[in-house]
Amino acid sequence: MDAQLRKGLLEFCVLAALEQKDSYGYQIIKDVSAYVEISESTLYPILRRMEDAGNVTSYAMEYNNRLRKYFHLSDKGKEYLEAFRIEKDKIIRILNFIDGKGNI
Amino acid sequence: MKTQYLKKLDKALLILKTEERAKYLEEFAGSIADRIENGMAEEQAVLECGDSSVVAKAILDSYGELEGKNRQMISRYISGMYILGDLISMLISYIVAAILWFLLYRVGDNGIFLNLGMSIPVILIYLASCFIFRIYTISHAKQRMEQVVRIIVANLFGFTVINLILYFTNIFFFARIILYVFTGLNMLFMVVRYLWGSRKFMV
Repeated sequence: MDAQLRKGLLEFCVLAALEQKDSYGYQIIKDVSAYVEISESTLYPILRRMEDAGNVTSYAMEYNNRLRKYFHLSDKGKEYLEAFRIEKDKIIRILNFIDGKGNI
Repeated sequence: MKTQYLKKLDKALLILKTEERAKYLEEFAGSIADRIENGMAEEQAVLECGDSSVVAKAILDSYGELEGKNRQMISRYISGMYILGDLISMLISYIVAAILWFLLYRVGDNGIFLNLGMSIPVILIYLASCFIFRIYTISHAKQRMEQVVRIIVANLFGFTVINLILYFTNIFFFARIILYVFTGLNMLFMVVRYLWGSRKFMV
């Protein structure tokens, strides 16, 4: 998949993974990589950007005698993800057009 | 293995703010720990996180899509800040040196021992101002010879400027003694600190 396209979609994949439940880095990678290739070096900058934008918040919780960092999808993040879902139909139409299956 | 990996990553991300870097290190440490708890060997867990230099590049590239040019600009900006910090630190310490010297000179005590003693608080002020400008934190200074060069250049610059000022105010002779002592001690102190820091914290 094209790097730019993948990068754009990854953001929403991460948010979608967090929509199910609060999660941590390695678990998000496992969840998302079933659909699109992702690694720590891609995930953490995305989470950082999302955190800065207020779409995601983080907190630490004790696990196996260490603190594990969990990420939580904020209300703003939910709205952001929802807005993308509303746009989804347009994107599918564009993809169909690229695929030669119709007009925009 | 894990510690070495995180140290390498830390070094490769030196361009980032300390807090930002700490967050990434914490997250990567967490990822490695999670993999190990999932039954993976430490070596494999580290391997799966990716080569530290590749990871660092990806992280740095993600900052506003910092491709080449922007990163170079930030690099130059940070270097510029170091030099500016050097100069400001020098300026502060030399101004204090000049004020202290002037006060002591006025009360009539201009012996060499007093001048030497005076250099101690001045050096402390210099180091404190360096710390405030975050130039000589261990992580910045370790294995960076250019830091020593900058110290020498900044000292020589400050030395010249202050000597010129004092020369034109006709108090050159005593100023020269003080500033020779101060500059010599200052440079020696910083070089020793650099060498000590490099050895102790060498990765």
